[in-house]
Amino acid sequence: MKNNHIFLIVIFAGLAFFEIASILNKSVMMAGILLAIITGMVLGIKIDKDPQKYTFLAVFTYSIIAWVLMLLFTKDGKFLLEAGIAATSLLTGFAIMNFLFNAIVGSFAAFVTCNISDNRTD
Amino acid sequence: MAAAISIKGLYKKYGPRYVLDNLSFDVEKGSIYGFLGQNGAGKTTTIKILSGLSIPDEGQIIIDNMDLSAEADNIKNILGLVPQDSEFYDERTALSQMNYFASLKGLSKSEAQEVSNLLLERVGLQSEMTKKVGSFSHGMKKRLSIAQALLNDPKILILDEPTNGLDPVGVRQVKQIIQECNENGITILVSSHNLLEVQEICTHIGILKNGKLITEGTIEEIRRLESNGVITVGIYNISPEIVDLVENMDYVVKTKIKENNILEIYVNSEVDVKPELNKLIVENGGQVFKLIENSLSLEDAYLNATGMKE
Amino acid sequence: MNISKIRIVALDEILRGVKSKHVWFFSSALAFICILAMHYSTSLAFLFSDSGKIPFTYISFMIILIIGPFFILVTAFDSISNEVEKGTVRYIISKIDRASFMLGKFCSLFLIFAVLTFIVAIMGQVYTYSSGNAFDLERMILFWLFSSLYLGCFISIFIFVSTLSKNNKIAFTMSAILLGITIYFFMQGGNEYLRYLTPPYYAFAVSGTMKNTTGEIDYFNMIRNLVSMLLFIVATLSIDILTFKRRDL
Repeated sequence: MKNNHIFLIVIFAGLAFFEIASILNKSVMMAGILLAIITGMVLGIKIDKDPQKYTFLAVFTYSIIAWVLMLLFTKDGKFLLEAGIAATSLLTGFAIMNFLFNAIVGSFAAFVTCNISDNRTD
Repeated sequence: MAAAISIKGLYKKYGPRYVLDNLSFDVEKGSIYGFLGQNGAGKTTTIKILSGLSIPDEGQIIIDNMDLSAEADNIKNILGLVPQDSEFYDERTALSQMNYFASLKGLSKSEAQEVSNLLLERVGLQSEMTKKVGSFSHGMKKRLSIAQALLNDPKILILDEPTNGLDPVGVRQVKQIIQECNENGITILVSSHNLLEVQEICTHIGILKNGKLITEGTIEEIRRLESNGVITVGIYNISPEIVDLVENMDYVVKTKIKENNILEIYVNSEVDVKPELNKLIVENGGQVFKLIENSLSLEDAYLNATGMKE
Repeated sequence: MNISKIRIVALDEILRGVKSKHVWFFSSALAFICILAMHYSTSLAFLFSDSGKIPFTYISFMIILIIGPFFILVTAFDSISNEVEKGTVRYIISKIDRASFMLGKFCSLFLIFAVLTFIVAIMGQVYTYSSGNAFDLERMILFWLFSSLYLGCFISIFIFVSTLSKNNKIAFTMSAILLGITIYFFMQGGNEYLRYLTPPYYAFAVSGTMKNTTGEIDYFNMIRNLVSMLLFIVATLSIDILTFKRRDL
């Protein structure tokens, strides 16, 4: 399977996982970190070259998509949008910071998995 | 003769590619085994596995009647390794590093000091032992590498391309050391690209291609094996009848007439057929002035074995 | 695993190792900063509620808790990757087993920092005594145990990253990222379980005892956190050894 295909599958899987976490009423923060770690582990095994980069992009992408979908299609999102541009910008800024942290956590998980599963050094 | 190193069904995979693919061979005790192969053939990987620097995916390795997977620590005590392109601690002196390696081999402080001095003298570094390794030339580092491998009197010495990047004087020194070690009863496994050097020092060779051992034996055996059994016969009065008779012999594959009354005969036989051929030609009126079995140089034999000859 | 081999590797690292000067320098710098902070806290005595009882141990403990991991980062990140990058590890691993080498590296760093934190602990007591208070041996020992174990946790974490890295550049970047992740997890607070995976959680849990110079010591809390840190180190070192055993050198 090509790297791009795996990348897309992971993004859709991430969105689905977020949906499941919100249905089960679980902590989104915890779910985000766990999902980033799982994504990193999967991509670390499946992708031969630069799994850290792919994981970072995948985690960041599905988090952003999930955030936009939340803003557009949920009650909470509409409530936030109605609160004005300042509140929306502030919360989006915090969310992006959080996504960046999750992406870094995922990248690290990919680094560890990649180096444990493929032990070639030369 | 008993095997010092016995490898059976060794596999090693990097990603989807098999670097070692069912590799099996034996190194006899007291021999110098030359390990030949192109870049990426799997020589260094095999050596790394033998010295515990890499873990095989599958296969059994017996070194001096000990299984590598079960008795790795005991094997490390009887094995000396000269790795390829490895550096030392530049800021430390040759003696300090030798003392450290000697203590890791289990020698006491005084023993380590004594043995280190002796070995550095043996490899010609006695006047440099208090100098920092950072100031050493490539050749000196190689000799230091050999000295550390000889700590604690190993039974087996493994050298990965020991003459790589050395000048002719350095190459000669390393070859001398290898031969001296072998005379002292150490079994040696040496990987190299340099066929001339292998021809000079090795008693046995194995040729590796794509992780598989394609041929092995003594140098003479390999030369004969890869020469494809070509016999060149010079006949003054060569005639089509003689050629026909020769071609009809059981073990003759084909014949080729060359200029100056030379007949090239391709035979497929494990026994020496020269006397029988000579008898047949002479009995049918041929006057033989030359009859030789072609012997290839090791280089030609190597190229034939690896399929690199045009 | 062979104790005598671990001792040889550790002693060589401490006394003659290529990086020993570097490690001694940074660990001494950490101790110096702690002593400096304790020294100047007497000039700023008015900042404390009881100016006669400045919590010197607490001050140095907080400094170790906050900036200690950064000092460990710069000393431990290349402990294995440097040897792998240069190829010196091949000479060593062809002579001894990997676990002994790894534990030797850990012990060398741990011992250096343990010695320096011991000096800080003694200096803390000297300052306490010179400000007119009695020696508090219990707190001194607890400070020494907790700060050296806390730094030991970080040493084992950074050795793990160093084991996985092919060169020093990757090792440093990944160690810095891991330190960031540790802080991020620790800052989660609330009911998030991720902070239990971080050494600062166990160290900060006992900081109250270090601060309270007169009150009773909660030994249950102390022992619980001490054991947790020990377990953390043992678990991380086991992972380090398993990872190192899988690597091609």
